Amino acid sequence: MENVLLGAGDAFSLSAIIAVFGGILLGYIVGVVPGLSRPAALAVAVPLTYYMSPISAIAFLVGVTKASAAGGATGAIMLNTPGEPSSAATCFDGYPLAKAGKAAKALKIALYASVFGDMVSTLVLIALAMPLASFALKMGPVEMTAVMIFALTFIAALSGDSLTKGLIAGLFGILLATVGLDPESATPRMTFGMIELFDGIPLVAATVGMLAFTEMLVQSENYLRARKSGEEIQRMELLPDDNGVSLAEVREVAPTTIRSTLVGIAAGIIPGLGPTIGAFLAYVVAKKFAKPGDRYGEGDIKGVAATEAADNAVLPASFIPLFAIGLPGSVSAAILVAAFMMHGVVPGPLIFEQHPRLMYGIYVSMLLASVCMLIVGRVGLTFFARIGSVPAVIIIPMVIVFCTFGAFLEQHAMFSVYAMVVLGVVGYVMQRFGYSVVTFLIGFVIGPLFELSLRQAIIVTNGRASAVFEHPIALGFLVMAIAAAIFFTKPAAKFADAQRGGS
Amino acid sequence: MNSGTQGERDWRSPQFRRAVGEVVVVAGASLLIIFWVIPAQTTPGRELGLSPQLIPTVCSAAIGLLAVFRFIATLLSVRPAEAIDAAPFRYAIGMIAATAAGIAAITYLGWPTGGAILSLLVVLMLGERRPLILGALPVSVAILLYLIQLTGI
Repeated sequence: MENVLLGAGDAFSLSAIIAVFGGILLGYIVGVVPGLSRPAALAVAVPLTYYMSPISAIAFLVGVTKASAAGGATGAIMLNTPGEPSSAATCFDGYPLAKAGKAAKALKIALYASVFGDMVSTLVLIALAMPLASFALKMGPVEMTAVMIFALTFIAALSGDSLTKGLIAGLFGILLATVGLDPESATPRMTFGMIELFDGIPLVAATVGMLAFTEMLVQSENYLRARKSGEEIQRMELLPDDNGVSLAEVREVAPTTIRSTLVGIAAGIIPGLGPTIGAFLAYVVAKKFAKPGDRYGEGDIKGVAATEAADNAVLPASFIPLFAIGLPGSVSAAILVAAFMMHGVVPGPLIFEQHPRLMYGIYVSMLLASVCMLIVGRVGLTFFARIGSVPAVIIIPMVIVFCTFGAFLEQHAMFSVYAMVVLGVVGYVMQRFGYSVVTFLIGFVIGPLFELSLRQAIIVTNGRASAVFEHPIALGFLVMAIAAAIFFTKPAAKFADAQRGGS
Repeated sequence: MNSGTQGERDWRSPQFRRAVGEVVVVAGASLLIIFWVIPAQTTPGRELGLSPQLIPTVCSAAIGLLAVFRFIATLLSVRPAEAIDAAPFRYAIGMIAATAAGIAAITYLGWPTGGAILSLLVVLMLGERRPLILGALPVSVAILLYLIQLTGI
């Protein structure tokens, strides 16, 4: 109880509250502006937290992540251009509502559903993470290795249009994570004589390069192409005949919002599904439960509530495997691992024993962030609807400058900046040829833990592969990994096609 | 890999050349890592525990095998080829060159001046020629980075 109160005290300190508000504000801007994605913004924001206290840093990043999910709906509703991929499904009903002069109504429904989904999911995280962590502590290296193989297979299958490409990307991430000193013998591996690489490839440089810098390269390509072809840039505008949300409408969308929140929580807990799939699944489920008179796809507020509630429920739920077993189930969670490690905290089952005060502080900050999101989103509704028109010619140079500065801050060395650019180029080439950068990054983050578990498992079992039959949990996860690989070999491509087509 | 007709393959199609290119690069890199990078760049461990080369070698070998598997699967695939609609590489190359030049400026001239040059080069690469933006953006970046430097970060 003492730790709960101390953690709550930390979360309500002035610096932590300012950090949450700052994160929410930045997250909203990132979410609203098309082309600035959540992972990219999060990757750039991680080094900025270097001088904050651990609780303020995590609160700030949680604020960025939560608000960018909520802000993504603005572009989807007003321009039919989602600020985030996870808000793509919001276009189906949000844009027709805006065309009918009900943009403000749709934006408010999106905000309330986002806050509800986020709040409920955070409560589920609080209820489940610690008991699961206690269970995870009983798992040995064989089980942990099997869990990571399962998670990586699942993520590889769902994050692109090819399982083999996903697996190659994930293995490449693990391979690059082995650069540096060997954990057992402390002998250098693939360092090419560079002392800077003895601690491994800098994690922040890798995340910033692979996500933010790569994305800026892709965005500049899109911008230059659009410029050459003379495409016009749309502007957001709230119409004067927009209206509010009545209590009857709140009652109307409540069941859909609750159902979609549950779908979002499930999508968050299962590694690899993520917010985009969660939002699309929630929309499909909402349509299955449609009543006569519902107008999904033509401008129904329930469609907006469904996708936004699920989108925002995914993130807190994706922290459950992260806190319980140290396994990031999404790219946002993987980036947060970098933030935790920068502040000397290793996510995993021991986190509740080693840093209980910090964990309770994070929980309270997450709930506080939900409330802040409601206030900032409601007060800034009109403002956020306008800033979506900031031109790419301003955004791209600013983000590239912050990428270089952010990479520098990690070690105060230009080596990190060079590493960031090199990895950014690698990420761009991978993306160009359909190799998932997300899977790479998750492989890179779990790489050291995977290697440690695998080595321990080999030692514990004396190198006997048949010993896995003596570990039923491990065997179960390996069977699930093989089943997932078989199941997703073809459907993964179909699913990716469906996502691209928005069907 | 396939032409429009199901089952009929055009070996000179861009898709086939792309698949060959991919397998050559990925599997080739994997062989290079296994037979040159790992032996040359990894100090063999003493008798203690497992070899430091174990995990990198297993990962590289798996990458190579998956690349070959993918290539064979692509050859056998009967899915119609998708049109490749990608922007020319020169856009990204230009942007990478501008960033590299900007980072060189940061290395030699410091963050405020170098950062301003970096933003100016990127803006120019994006095709922007309006004097107001070309002047205001680098100055804003320089002031921002100078202020950050003043705080001691």
